[in-house]
Amino acid sequence: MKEFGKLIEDLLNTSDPSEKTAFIVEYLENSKDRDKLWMIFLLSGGRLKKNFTSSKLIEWTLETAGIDSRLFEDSLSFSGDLAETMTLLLHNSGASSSISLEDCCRFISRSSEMSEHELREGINEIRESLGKAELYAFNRLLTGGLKRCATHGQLAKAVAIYENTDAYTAARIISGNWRPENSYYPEVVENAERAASLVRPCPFCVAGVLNGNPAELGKKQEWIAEWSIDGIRAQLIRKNGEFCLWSEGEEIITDKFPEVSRASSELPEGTVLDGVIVCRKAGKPLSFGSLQRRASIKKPTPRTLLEFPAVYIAFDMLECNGDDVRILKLSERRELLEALSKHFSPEIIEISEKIRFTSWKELSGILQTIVNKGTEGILLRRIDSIYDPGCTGELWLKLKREPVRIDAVLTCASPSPDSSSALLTEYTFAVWHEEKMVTIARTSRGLGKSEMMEIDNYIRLNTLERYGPVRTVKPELVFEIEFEGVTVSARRKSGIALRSPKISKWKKEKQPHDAGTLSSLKVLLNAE
Amino acid sequence: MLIEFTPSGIFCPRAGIYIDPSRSVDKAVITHSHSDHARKGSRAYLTSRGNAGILRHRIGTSASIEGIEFGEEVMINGVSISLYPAGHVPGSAQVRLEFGGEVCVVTGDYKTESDGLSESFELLRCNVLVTESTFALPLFKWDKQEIIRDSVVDWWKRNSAKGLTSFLCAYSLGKSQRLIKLLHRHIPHLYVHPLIERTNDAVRRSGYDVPEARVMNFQTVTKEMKGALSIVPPSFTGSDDAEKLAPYTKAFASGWMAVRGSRRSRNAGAGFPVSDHADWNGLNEVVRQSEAERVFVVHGFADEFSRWLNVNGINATPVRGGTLKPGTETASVRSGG
Repeated sequence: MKEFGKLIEDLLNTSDPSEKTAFIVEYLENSKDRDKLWMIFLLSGGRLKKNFTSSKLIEWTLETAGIDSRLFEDSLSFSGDLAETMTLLLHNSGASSSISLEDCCRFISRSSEMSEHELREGINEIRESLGKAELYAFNRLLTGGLKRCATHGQLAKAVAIYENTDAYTAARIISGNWRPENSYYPEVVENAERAASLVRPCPFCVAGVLNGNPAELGKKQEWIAEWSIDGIRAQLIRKNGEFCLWSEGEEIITDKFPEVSRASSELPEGTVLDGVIVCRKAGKPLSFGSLQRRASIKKPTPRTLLEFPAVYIAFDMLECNGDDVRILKLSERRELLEALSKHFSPEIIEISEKIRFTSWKELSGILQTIVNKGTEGILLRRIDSIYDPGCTGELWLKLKREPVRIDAVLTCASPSPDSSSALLTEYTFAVWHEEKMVTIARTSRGLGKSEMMEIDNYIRLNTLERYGPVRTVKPELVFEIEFEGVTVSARRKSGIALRSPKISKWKKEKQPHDAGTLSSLKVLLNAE
Repeated sequence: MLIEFTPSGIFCPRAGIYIDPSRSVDKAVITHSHSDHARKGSRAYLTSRGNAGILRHRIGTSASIEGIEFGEEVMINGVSISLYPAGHVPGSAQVRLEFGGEVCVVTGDYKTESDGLSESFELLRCNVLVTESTFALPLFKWDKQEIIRDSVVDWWKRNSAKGLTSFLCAYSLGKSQRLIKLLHRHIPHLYVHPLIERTNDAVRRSGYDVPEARVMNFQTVTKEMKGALSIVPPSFTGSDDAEKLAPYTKAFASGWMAVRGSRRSRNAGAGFPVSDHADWNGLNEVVRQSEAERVFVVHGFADEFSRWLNVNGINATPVRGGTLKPGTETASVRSGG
């Protein structure tokens, strides 16, 4: 448990992704095989089966620490973290134990077979034996999970480095069909390698952004235009009896979209498609937020499937009947894809729609006027381009809609979470709604260093209140915010969130009452 | 009672003295030289011999400052005034007042563990105790010095291996000297910020053994300074001088760092819970062993600590901003019997 406690402490003390990865690699190098599996299970969001409540845990903690519940609440409200509060109340320095991560996890998983007395004695015994960092990790296991310590990507990268393998195999190790109680680490790795050898995804082609006039691209007949869809980019692989959805974020998401899995069994063997997963209900695309919610669920329930139905929209073909077709021209690949589309289950797998246009000017017009919900612009691809991730920056281009702009007032600021600088560069902006200011965006993008210093200075002199790192500021500074669209947000009071907001201008000449209104943003929501 | 709480600070009407007054007064007794306890502008100051020079360094040369030995008695209008070590920073004192058989002790800031530099805290029995409560939550229980030292050394080694300069942010009076003493044999190139060095000098001149450390020089930044550990004031990071030593990483040395939330709010990757205040156990022990019949709790978690003391049969009252908290006075008298 010692190493695991240190790992959790290290992970929580840094926000640097490469450091996090390095800490996980270090753990893998220094831990036993059994503990490796439990670590992977826990960091990838796995939870232990438990048969006790947090209030029971608190009750036992109070007794051991010799304090009353009011003092516990005072402590908890200062710390804000239940596991940390328990740790600081119980920790006795000098404790050190040889109990392993696996022992701790197995103990907790067995809680349903124990009487309350046994359970309490057992928890107390383990707690007494642990040093501070281990005790914290153990208390986290008792009170919940460890999901937010590292991202899937950081974990996968660490596994890939440690096993000296590719991202796909690493993802396969993490999301393989195993339980830590009854699996053996080398076997998990071996199974993953075998599975990975049957289904190996290709590197993704990524489109560049077209800065300038599309007319400069030459003849319009040399390009195919499609809607660039807001969704989860993924390869759909049907090969050697296996099926896999592999996301651009290098995660295996097969189990998250079982309806797509089922539909893909209709496809011929040896098919690899490139496309985008979206959520769509009764023909209407759902917001990106709904898709994200859906994608955060490991194994969706039938109800989730009904509420957020997923559709796979294919726009390219990489393998056809087992042959690698990436070297064919786009026009030829498109023909193969169209021929294949008769196997597609309607409403679950679809082919992307081509946009017909007679001139570049018309295309630009289509882009600006037909505001198609769920798209972020138009994807242009040269018809003679092969599928080569090395050179798609010029042959695959994204044509973005003119950004929308609004004037908003700076209301809150905090240091940017990904910088070690104390400069307050993470800004929150608000607009008017019924004579009150409501938050619409948070961003740190768009300003130069000198402006940031000036604003930092202003914030420090005009702080109204402080909540930890966040300061509320006298609402006086007005900025022009540029964004790509508006989405629904259940989290915000305003009910909306701006897509990729960026500060375009500090409007020093403007007063707070000149700022925009929420209703003008809500209009955009309905237009999309 | 010998003392009362006024907006200017703790006042002893019979002796006409204020303890750590917040405004200019005629006679001020100063427990130690941190800025929230020692302020300019009073006509006469009484403090410990050890603190007298440091106080002069902090509030200027013109003030009339009298330093007395620990345990030495000064009589004013029949009140016996004496100072005893508080263990907070070098020269820091508790104030003991005695009149007609009643003893009142004002602890000022204190810590019960020895830091190897300040005079060790001395426990005093009294009728009335005024205690601080900066860290009066059971969350705060300090680790042994060696454990903290090892974790600082570890942190510096990790940073240095990655080519990062390490800035350890600490208050310039007390914490910095204590850290130098703790670290100087374990970190080969230990640097201090020039501002801290000035305080070091004042502390050294008062007779305390502060080991020598290298002083940072921003005119000619040497290779050695990069990758080294420097003790700096909290405001230093983000300054132009700090940028000269980039890439760097910082950590705070403060009792608050025991809690992750405070580390995060300081935006520091690491934090070391080194405190010059008593921890939860220290505070409870001092209150119990003082055998005081009446306890006043100032500075910090005054409400929380008073409530806890009352539950445990000790008559305690929180004091905030120089006045008793309204309503709590009678309640606590009742519960304390």
